[in-house]
Amino acid sequence: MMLLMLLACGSSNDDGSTAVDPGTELQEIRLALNWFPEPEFGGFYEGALGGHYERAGFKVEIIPGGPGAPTLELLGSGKAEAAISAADDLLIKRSKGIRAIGVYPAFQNSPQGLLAHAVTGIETAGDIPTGSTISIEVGSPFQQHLWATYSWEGQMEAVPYAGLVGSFMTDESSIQQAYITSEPCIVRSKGGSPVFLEARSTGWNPYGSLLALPDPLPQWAPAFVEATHAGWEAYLANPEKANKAMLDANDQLTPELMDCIVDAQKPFLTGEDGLGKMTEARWTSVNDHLVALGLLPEGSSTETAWKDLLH
Amino acid sequence: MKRLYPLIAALLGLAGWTLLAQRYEAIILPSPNEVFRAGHGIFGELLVATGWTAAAALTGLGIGLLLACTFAVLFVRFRWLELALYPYAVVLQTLPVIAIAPLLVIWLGYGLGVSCATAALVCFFPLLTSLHLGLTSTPSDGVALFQLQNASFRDMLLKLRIPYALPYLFTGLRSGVGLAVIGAVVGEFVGSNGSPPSLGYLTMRKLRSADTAEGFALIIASGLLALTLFLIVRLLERRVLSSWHTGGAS
Repeated sequence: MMLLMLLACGSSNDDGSTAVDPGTELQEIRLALNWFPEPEFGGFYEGALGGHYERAGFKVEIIPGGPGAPTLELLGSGKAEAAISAADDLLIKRSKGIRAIGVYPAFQNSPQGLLAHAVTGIETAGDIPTGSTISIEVGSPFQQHLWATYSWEGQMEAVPYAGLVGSFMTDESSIQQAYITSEPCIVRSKGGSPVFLEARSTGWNPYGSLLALPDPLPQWAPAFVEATHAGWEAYLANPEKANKAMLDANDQLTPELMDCIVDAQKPFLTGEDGLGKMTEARWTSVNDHLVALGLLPEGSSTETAWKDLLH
Repeated sequence: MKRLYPLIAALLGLAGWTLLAQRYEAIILPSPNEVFRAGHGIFGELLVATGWTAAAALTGLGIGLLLACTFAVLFVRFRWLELALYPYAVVLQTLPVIAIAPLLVIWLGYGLGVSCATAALVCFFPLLTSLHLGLTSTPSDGVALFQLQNASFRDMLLKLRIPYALPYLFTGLRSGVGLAVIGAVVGEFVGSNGSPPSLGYLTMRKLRSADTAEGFALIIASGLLALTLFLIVRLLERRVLSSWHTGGAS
């Protein structure tokens, strides 16, 4: 059973975030997730459950998403004050007129990738045999990047991915798109032995689970980002409380699946730069990729698309 | 004996399914037995989800019916309005609901609103065409008689056109009720984040988690829901038409 989570429980944790005077009216924030409540949002849940948001003056309502969740559109239309997206999605939507700014990446390294069977010996995208059929979101930036990078046009067949791992499980030559926070653990839980080929290893690495706020940034933005960071730090130190809340809110998660995802996503969260960091070089790299793919107009820049409010 | 035909067809279908399932892994095609056990395992969840989907489908059907009645009457009363709007009603029917659903999420937010809207969208057109045909199929001698008595449009509508249109209305409802369930489930695929839980949402989640047997059980529940609502409409039709109209007897 999934419920809209209204989570703003008080706690005595000292996270170092700016505290507001008791009795001050809390700022209500609707945070739209781009997927169901799963560990990829652990820090946001911990932010609410651990009192990090409340101490910074926020009452956060977490709105779970699902496939194709239009989070930035919800932000743009005023139905949410904060939204989760990815760096590539944010840049594309900004070019279409949606006013949003990326302020905090939960994932340093993109959780996207490809999934193959370990038995095939495939270790990189370059090892995928010519003529393979790849189940992937056709037309997505990641698919276009792969086809352009490896010159797969006419060499590989892209077929739409419906989110089901059934055909992957029964065909050892199957290749499909995957998120480190989902398919690899589902396949393992069904007895499969998959190998995950990170998007980063193909040169594609937009920040994932990126917190976006309205453009221009509201006054409360720095305090909200600070509380979010505190939530993620606390989640990495002890994910139990948030995981339990997500288990309650997501009827498809099992404790085993949860543990698998928590372990698998850890290195993707912190990356090389550290939790919550954003660099000009990375944003420019994503922007340049999208321009090269024709998904952003020539001359696009990321100058106003993101703001590091933490460092 | 004839009453046994559907049962025989169902048994043959189940036997064929069982045989076919032996050739595939359960993750691709589970057997009827596996689906039954999976359905039993999530029965409580399935029942709650069926309730929410039924609520969305019936609300959507109600909205669709209300709009269809309004426009059908307006079309009969004002011919120019029919000429102006009918083509757009046809266009509305051709819109791919699955493509509109994400837009509905932006406009209405997650939840029942989206599935009610998609249910209303898909059942509106068949209801409108049935009602419009019914309201314009009144025997000409009846119309002439009312005109002879200088009857108002309202009197002619309430006492002549609507009674004659009732069999057409129920024909529209029979197809509309099934379409409303399909519309609601499609809306839930995209527009539900699990709150409230619904058949479309649960089916999508179960299939994505490779719990195929449970997904099948939920799909069957959707079919049973549509069948139940269809039978309720049939029952209503018999009750209403047998006392009011000779068409109901058949």
